[in-house]
Order: sequence, then structure tokens, then C-alpha cells
Amino acid sequence: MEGGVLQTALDPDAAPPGGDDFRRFSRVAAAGAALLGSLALIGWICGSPALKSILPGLVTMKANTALGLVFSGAALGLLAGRPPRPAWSRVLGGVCAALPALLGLLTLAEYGFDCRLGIDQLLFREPAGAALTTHLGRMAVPTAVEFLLLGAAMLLTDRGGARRAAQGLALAAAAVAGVPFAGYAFGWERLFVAGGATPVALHTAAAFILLSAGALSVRLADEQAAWVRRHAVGLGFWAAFFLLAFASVGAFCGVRGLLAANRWVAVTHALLEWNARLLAAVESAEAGSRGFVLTGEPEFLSSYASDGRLARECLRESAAIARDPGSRGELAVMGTLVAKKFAFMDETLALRRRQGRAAAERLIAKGEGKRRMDALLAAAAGFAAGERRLLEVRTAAVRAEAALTLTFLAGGSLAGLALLGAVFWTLRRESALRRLNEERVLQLNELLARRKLELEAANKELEAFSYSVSHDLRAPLRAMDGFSQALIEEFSDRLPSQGRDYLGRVRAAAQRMARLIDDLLALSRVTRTELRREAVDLSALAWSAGEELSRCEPGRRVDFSVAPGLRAQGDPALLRVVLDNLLGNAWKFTALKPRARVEFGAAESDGQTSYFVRDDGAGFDPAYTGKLFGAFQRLHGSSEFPGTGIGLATVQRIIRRHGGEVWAEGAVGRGATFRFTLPR
Amino acid sequence: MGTKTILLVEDNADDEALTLRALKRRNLANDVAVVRDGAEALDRLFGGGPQSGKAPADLPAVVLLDLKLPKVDGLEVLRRIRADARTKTLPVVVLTSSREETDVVRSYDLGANSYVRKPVEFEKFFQAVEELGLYWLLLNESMPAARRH
Repeated sequence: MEGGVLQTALDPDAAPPGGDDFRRFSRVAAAGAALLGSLALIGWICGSPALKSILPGLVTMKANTALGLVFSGAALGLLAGRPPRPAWSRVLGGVCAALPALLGLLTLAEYGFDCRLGIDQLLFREPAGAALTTHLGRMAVPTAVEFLLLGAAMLLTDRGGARRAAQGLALAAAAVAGVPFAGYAFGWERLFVAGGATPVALHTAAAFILLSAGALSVRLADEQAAWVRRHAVGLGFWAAFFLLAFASVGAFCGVRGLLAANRWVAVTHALLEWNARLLAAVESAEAGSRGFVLTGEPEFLSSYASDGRLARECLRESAAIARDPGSRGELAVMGTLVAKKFAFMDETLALRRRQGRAAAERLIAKGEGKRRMDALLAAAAGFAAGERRLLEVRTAAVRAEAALTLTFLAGGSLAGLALLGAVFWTLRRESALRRLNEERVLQLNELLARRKLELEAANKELEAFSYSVSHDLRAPLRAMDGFSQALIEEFSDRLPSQGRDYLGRVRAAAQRMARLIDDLLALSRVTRTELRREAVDLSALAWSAGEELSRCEPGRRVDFSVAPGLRAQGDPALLRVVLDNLLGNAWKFTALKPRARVEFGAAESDGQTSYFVRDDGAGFDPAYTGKLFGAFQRLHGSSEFPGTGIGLATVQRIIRRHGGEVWAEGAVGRGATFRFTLPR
Repeated sequence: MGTKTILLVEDNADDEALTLRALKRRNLANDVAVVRDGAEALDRLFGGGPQSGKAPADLPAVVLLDLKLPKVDGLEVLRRIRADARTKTLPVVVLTSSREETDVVRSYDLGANSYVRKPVEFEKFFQAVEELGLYWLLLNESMPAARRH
């Protein structure tokens, strides 16, 4: 390795495959959802509105929903158990997942066919007049859909190849749960209420978000788990960002709603006050007119005109701020009554001035004035009562809005902050891990550098060894060969033919040994020398090797053909050794044929070029193909074809060093084909 | 050492005997000086030191140099021969058992006139001698010696 730099740092995410930690998250989510359901059930048992609907004025979590959540939580908890799951866990989990799904399906049927199956109030009776509820005790449509989706997701999770489908269903469930949640945060629930359908309860939506997140992560594939781990920090930051943004926008919407609700409360207060002032003005006008009728003193009428103006002003102001249609109707009635009352008083006063006290008293005694006053008083009292009722409702709405806003602000901020905390914790852990890894990489690099030095030393030693072998091992052989030859040449007349034969054998053996040493050294040189990479003209190399072979054995008749223009990237000297060996083999194993064919060419398959040397010689038994490339492995006796059995081992080593492969095809007596590849 | 002598630098007795035998068969063995190691070879060529060296007339006609030698190895001897002005053109034939490519390359780099593997390639050795134009030089002198047989 060049430079000795260790490229692959230690994996910082060396967590167990399959995601034990993700299953743990699923168990926690399952427990949370089951807890929310159980609390609501307790609320139904004890009749506690806080546990049923969390905030006053909000819709309740229906008893069926609570029960379904408990079952779903149990199913998810069992699903998230440590594998392998026992049979009872699988059966129980299936039942727990199927029950809520069935409940959801039946509820949807009730909505769809507009019928009653008697399941809505099976466990508990919801008192009449429940907030925002179209059918007492019946879960909302989205809730029923959620139970169906989640039940199907959990039942599919361990069904062979359906894991992806299960994850898709869980994702859909999360989306469905998100809508009412957002509705509560942004004040959209009025839209649902206006639509006339029962909305999903706040804690039901929260429980479904938990359940779908748990169902999504209960069987993460290794690569999914790895992806989540790799992006944990980024995902955490985004989640925190969205949670905080969600909380802020929710708080903004809540405060705006709160301000609006407050304005309505103020309007009601003002209407009540205008009402009181109107009555006071009318009463003051009547007292003045009565005094004038009795005494005839004009002093009593000093405020009569201003009282009338004040009464009209009260009516005008009230009409200007009242928005409630009922209130506006009542105000109109009161306006008419006030006008009639003043018209009667004006008539009485005119009569007193023209015909005196007796005539006016006669008119008053008829009771018309009192009747008109009573009608006005009754209308004013009714108006005030209505306004007081409105005030109560509006004050309650303010309180609910404030509570909801506070809940979202606090919950969202807390959750966001907790997530941020978790992200920071993860970051700290990771940076610590990275520091540790860097240290280890440094250590490893040091180790590697040391190993490299050791390896270089060993290589040098090996080189010295093979140099020594090449010189010293050959010297005794040379002596054997040389002196045997000397014996034959100088004393052949005194040697019997058997003696000459023995000496010939000594010489042959010595020469064979020398060749073995040469081949072994060549084999070791292949691995020792540095590999050069340049463009090599394989066709030219093959031609030159073939020419040399035919020069060495001029008597042979070999049809030698080379495909033109074959080029490759590699070490020219080593590739020459490859072609020398392969073509040499082809030459050697076709020796028994009077006219042989040897061919060098290339073939293309799967976009990869393979080069081949083909002959029509002795071939080999395909059963021994595996032995062909081992050093000293020979499939033919030396007497049949000479050789050391190192050539093909050398070829394989060279090709492998180039990153290629070499293989052989052949059959006894049908020739052999050696193919090799060289990566570009 | 006369002009027609051959200096054989060889530490292996077997190889020495075989080389001498080959030379004798070509009638070239009349005046072969044999030294056993590189130091001795340098001593023979340059005497005690560079300045006290002999005249060019005392140099051998050709040096047959083994590469693997005790004390000073053959390549070093060759380097010293080529470094000295007097022996710069002295014909040197490297005689070795090595087939290591590096040996061949380094021998030629250092200015060897020929590179011969022993002993099977003695024919090549005579060929090299002929190519170096020394054949007749050596042979002329050895002819009478051969006749003496």
C-alpha cells in the first residue's frame, strides 16, 4: 500500500444490525399509546372529564377508541419484542392488532350505512349533550380509519415480503394522525366542527402519532436503520425545528383566537352596560313626565329631551357593536318599544299642556303607558339574560382557547427542547467517538508504517536469498554437468556405453534442476518486482514470442495466428512472460501433431475483453482444471512433455497482480484454451 | 603478465577447472592467470595503489570476471576498472551463473563488454571474444602452445 494511510476509518455507527434500539423505541411508543388509552378508560370509569377530554370544551376520547388504543399498544409492544418471538406472542399480537381494526371497520360501516350496530355505547353511556359529538359514544371517522391502517400494518409486518407495505401503511397512519393534531394547534378544529362531523380527540391524535411511529420503526431493514443512524443528527434537528415551528405557529393561532374571544366578551359586557343605561334613561324620562303631569312644573321636564336622546344613542351604539343575530333582533324590538314608549309620553305631555291635569291622568289611567313600559322592561331583561348566557359561553371559550394555547406552547416547546437536547447529546457522543477513531486511525497508521518497514526488510532479505540461490545453488549443478561432460568428451573411449548413459542421465538431471531453479526464481520475481502499467501491444508480443518458439524448433509445422491490434494496460515485461508461457505450452503440447494450430485472440462478453491462447494439442482432463495453476502441478509426465510445472503458476500470479483472472478449458486430445482478462 | 594473457577472476575451484578446460579446448589456455577474489584481482591489475600501477603493457588482454566474489564483488571490480584511465578500455567479459536481470543490466551499465552465463554458454563466450576482436590476438599467441601438444 502506498503511503500507508488507512482509508477506512472505524465505523462510528457500529450499532447492532436490524435495529435493537429502534425496537426499543417502538416498545416505548407502544407503552405511551396504551397509557393514553388506559387513562381515558379510567376517565370513563370514574366519570372524570379531565381524563376523557383533557381540556374542557374539547371532544372526549370515546371509550371504544381508548380500548382500541390499549389493544393496539399491546400488539405493537408484542411485535417489538426481542426476536425470535414465541408462538403465543405471535397469536396474542395478531389478536390485539385485529380487534381495533375490526372496531374501526364496524364504526366505518355505521357511518357509511347510517345504522347503529350497538357498539358505540357498549362499554359506557356517554351523557347527552357531549361536546362536538354527532353520535354519542361513537369514535370519529379518522380514528376508525387509523385503527384499520395500523391493524393492517401490524398484521402485515411479519408476513414475508410485505414489510414495505406495512411501513407504507404506518406512514399513511402517521399522516392521518397529523391532520387533527395540526387542526388543534392551528385552530382548524372549527372547520371540522362546522362540517358537522365528530373530531378526533387531542390525546387520540397524540396516541396515533406514537403508534404509527412505533409501527414504522419496529422492523427497519438494516440499510434503513443504518440510514436513520447516519442521519440521526440531521433528522433530530429537523424534527426539533418543525416541532418548535409547530408550537410557535400554534401559539400564534391560539393567541389570535384568544384575542378574538376576548373581544367578544368585551362586546357582551358593553351591550349589557348600554342596556342598563337605556333602561335608566327611559325610567328617568318617565319619572320626569310623571312629575310634570302631577304638578305642571316645567322644571320636571328639564332632562326629558336629553333622556330621549340618550335612549336613542344607547340603541344606536348597541346596534353598532352587536353581531349575534339574536341580539340584533332583540335590539330592533327594543328600539320599536322605546319609540312607542316615548311617543306615548309625548302624547300625555301634550294633553297635560292643552287640557290640564285631569285629561292627562285619564289617559294614563287607561294603562297604555304602563303596558308599553312593561313590554320594554321585559324585552330588556330578556336581552340582558341572553347576553349573560353569551358571556358565559364566550368566557368558557376564552378559557378553553387559553388552555389549548398553553398546552401547545408548553408541549411543543418542551418536546422541541428535549429533541434538541437529544441531538446535542448525540453530537457530543459522536465527536467523542470521532476523536477516539482519529486516535485509533493514527495508531493504525503507525502500525501500518511499521509493518511496511518490516515488509520491506523481509522483501530485501528475500531478494538477497533468491540472489544467493540463483548463484550458489547453481554452482554444484554446473560442476556435475561440466565434469560429466568432460568425462564423456575426454574418456568416452574408456567408458562402456552404459557408463556414458549414466553420465548422460546425470547431466540431464543437473540441467533439469537448473531449469527448475530458473523457473522458481522467475515465479518469485513476479511478486517482487514493481508492477508498471502502460499500454501494451499484446499482438506484437505474441508475434515475437511465437517467432522465437518457431526459431527454437525449426522442424515443427505450426499454423500460428494472432488477432491484430490487441492492446491492453499492463506491465510489458510480465505480460511477455505470460505469453511466453502460454504460447510455449501450446507449442509443447502440440508437439505430437504433424501439423498443429496455435491461435492468440480476444473475445468480448459482458463488456469485458478476455484474451485466449488456443491449441489443438494434447489437451487435459477437465477434472483437473483446478490443479493446472498450482506450482509444481503437472498433468503430464516429464517423459511425455518436458516441463517444471511452474509456468502456469507464474502466469496466474502475473494476471492476478494485474487484477485479472485466468482460466482454462479443454478436454483430453481435443486441445486446450487458456483465457485471461486484464482490467482496463 | 603479458599482453596476450587472460585474467580469470573466479573463486569456485570447479568453475575454474571447467573454464580452464574450455579455454584449453580452444587452445587459449596457454597464459591464464587465476585470482580467487575481487581484492586480489584489483591488486593484480593496479599493483599496490593507483599511482604505483603497472604500465598498460602489463595488463591482460581480457578479464573474465565472476560477479559473486569474496571480499570485493565482481561489479565493484568492474566499476574500479572502468574508473581508472589506464584500464578504461580493458575488455571485460562478465562470467556468471546468475540470470538475474539486474545483474545483466548493472554489468552492462558499468561497461562490461560481454555477459556470459557459465558453463553451458561457453560457446557464447568464444563468440564474444571474437566480436571483441580479441580472438586472433589470443589465438595467435596460443597457436604455438597448441602445437607443443
